[in-house]
Amino acid sequence: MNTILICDDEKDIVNALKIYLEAEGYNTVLAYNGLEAVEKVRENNIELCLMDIMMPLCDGITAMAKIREFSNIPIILLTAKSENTDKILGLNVGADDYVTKPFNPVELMARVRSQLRRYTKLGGSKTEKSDSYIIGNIELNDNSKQVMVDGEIISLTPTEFEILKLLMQNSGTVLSPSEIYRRVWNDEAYGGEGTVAVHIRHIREKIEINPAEPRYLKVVWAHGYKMEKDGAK
Amino acid sequence: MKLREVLGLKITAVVFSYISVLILVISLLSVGVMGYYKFYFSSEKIVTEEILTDMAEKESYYIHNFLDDGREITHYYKDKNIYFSVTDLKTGKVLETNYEGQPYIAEASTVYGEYIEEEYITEEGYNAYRDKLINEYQVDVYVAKNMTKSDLFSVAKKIISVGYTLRYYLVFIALISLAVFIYTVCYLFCAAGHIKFGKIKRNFIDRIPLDILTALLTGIFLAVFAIIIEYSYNFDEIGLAMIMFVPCSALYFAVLGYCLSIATRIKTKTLLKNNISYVFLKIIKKYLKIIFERLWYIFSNLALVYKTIIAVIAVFFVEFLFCFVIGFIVSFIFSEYYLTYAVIFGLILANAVVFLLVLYIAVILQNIKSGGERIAKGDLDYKIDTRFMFSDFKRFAMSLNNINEGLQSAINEKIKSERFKTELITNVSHDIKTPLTSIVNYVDLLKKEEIESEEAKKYIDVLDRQSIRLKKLVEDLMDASKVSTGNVSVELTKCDAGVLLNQALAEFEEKLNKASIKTVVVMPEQSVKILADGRHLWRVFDNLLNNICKYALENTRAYIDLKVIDKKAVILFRNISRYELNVTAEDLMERFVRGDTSRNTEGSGLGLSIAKSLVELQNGNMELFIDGDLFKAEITFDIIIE
Repeated sequence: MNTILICDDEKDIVNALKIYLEAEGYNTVLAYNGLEAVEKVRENNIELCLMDIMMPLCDGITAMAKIREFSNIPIILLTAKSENTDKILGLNVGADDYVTKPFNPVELMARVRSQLRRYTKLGGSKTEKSDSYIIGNIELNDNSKQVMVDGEIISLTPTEFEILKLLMQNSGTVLSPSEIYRRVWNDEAYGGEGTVAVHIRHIREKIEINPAEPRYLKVVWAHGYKMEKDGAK
Repeated sequence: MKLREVLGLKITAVVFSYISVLILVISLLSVGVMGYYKFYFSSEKIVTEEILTDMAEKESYYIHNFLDDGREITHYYKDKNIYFSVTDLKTGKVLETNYEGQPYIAEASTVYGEYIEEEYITEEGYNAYRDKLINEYQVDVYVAKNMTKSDLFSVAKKIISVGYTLRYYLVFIALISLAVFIYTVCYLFCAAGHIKFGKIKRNFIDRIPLDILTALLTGIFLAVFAIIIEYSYNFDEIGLAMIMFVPCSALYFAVLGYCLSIATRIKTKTLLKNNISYVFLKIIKKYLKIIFERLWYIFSNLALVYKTIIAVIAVFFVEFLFCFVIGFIVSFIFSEYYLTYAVIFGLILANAVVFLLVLYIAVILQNIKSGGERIAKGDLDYKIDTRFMFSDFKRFAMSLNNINEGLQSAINEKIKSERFKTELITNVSHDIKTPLTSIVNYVDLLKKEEIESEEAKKYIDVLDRQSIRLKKLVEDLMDASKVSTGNVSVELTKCDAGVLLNQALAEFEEKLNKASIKTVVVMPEQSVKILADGRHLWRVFDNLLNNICKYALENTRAYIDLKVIDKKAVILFRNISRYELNVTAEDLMERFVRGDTSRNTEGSGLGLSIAKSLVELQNGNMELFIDGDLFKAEITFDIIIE
């Protein structure tokens, strides 16, 4: 099974995470500060790293930067800082995902699973076909009208599928609800924006681990919606 | 139609006022004449005697004239109720008479002298002329008691008799006509300007500038009366009265019209404005003001040094002028010119010293002033050069420099404390969240353990619920402190309020359904653009919609409106409260105050406070209203007009 490094200065948290991860069948390696984490990643065959930001000796961001010098394993940041600027900083430096403390253990496990699947299975074979769109762990095939998230088939209604396809085709750009309505329903949006918003929430509930903090399908408040351009990296 | 608007009535009033004035003048004149002849104090007989004596005296003057002309007198008085006798006082001989001892009621006796022109030599030896009395005559006139003939005297007697009877009635008539006059004139003043339908309008006379009208009237009447006075010697009293009648009447009408015009002007508030001189004065005032303002502008923009120079020169100029006048008077009185020159020379010397001193002080002040201005503008590194200053000025400049240093350190302090506050919030957040994470995780792990005791399972449930609540509370607390200290970055962009409202409602669709609350949403067809930060505004809507889910009564409707009122976007959330709202709207906005006083529902009591702070950070406005159980939140933003 996969080996996961848990790094936090709070021993109780490390211990709790160890229990959760081992219950899921993963092997764990423990570290209590940044320097130790870098050492452990170098010494062991680690496939995923859970890392706290605020730690003594060497904080999570620095440790992550050091790990990134020799490894491209997925790193999930555990952070008490919930400011948006901190999240963006973490992702830019090289984190693949983040959860804010106090986190929900079930959500964290889902994120770990998602990252591992992407790293071990999809990682190498990212060949984009003409009729399919891949963003992060989401794969949309226009031919078979199928959407796969973390390798599992998700059932979407035809409208939801069309909306997701439109957003994935235009990943990185913000589409307004009226624009989405016009292009999916092929009609002028007279009060149809509300419908679009409801559909998008449904899609988010199906493809995101935590729909309130979406990883891929982002709500740009007061403007529209956007699909992140290929995850964090 | 009101009485004051009837034209016929006005004309009648004018006529009546005129007639009453005429009667008033005539009766007053009569009363005056009668009063002069003591009608009100004596018997009719005495009054008659007195008047007739006056007339007889006048008659004696005519007789004297007849004598001078050498005309026959007896023949002339054949048909009159007059007897006369002329006596030469030198000889005592009666020259001419028709008096034969008849009874008379009045008598007048007058003496006249006869003069010839005589040449004589004055004291200085010049030739001159003077009148010399050569004879004197006595003229006696008697008015007959029984007037058998008709003449001026018989008429006079009759008029006196009638006048005496009517003497009190005339006073009465005068008073009545005065009353009529006052009444009609008052009516006319009230009615002036009123035309129809209660409107006040100016006629063409009221539109003539008042000063021109006044000058015109005065000029014309001065001219007319000058001509009358010029020719008045041609007429006796009665004739003059007849001649004066027409222009006086015209004057009466003109003055009445003039006064009424003034009344209209007062009513229409054009008394001052409708004057040529007023317009001129206004124009002159305007230009004087402009000139004064320009000069003041130039003066106030001069450097302090130049200002001082101008002021000092002005003072010196006045001083010199004064000294010259005094000196002139002194030298004129004492004829000591050198004294004046000495005084003036001394004055110049003293003034020169004062001038240099004042100039030096002005230069110092100029430096302090410009330094102060630079400090006020925020140039904290600036130091005023105090090397050439002395005494109090030096201390003043130095304390200004000290203020600068104090300000610098205060700003540094402020920056430091801001940074400290931000760090404090972040650190506290971390320090609270770390143990909380452990609690949440271990409670979760406990739940998965197989526990026999049912009680223990219940307790774990409580722990689970409360830890989740604690988590929410901590998050809200962090947000509230960040928002209220302004520790959040706000990026205002052009936002579509309608889009955001739709997005927010979509997020809450399920939650609202679960709480059995139906939403009624009204928004305009065209998009409403406001300047806001989408993320923060979402948080505001999030809090308000969460409140609706938590506190709105089940199976009721929540009304959400987006409206544009007076260039403002107004977003309204209205719902019926589940709990009795026995708090004020202001209290609800306070931190930690909740609609349910028992505090047994979820929620931190921070939502509305956070929402209000966030709205205000985006230059918007949020207000709460409570009307019974109706809860209303109103958010207002300026809309962007493209």
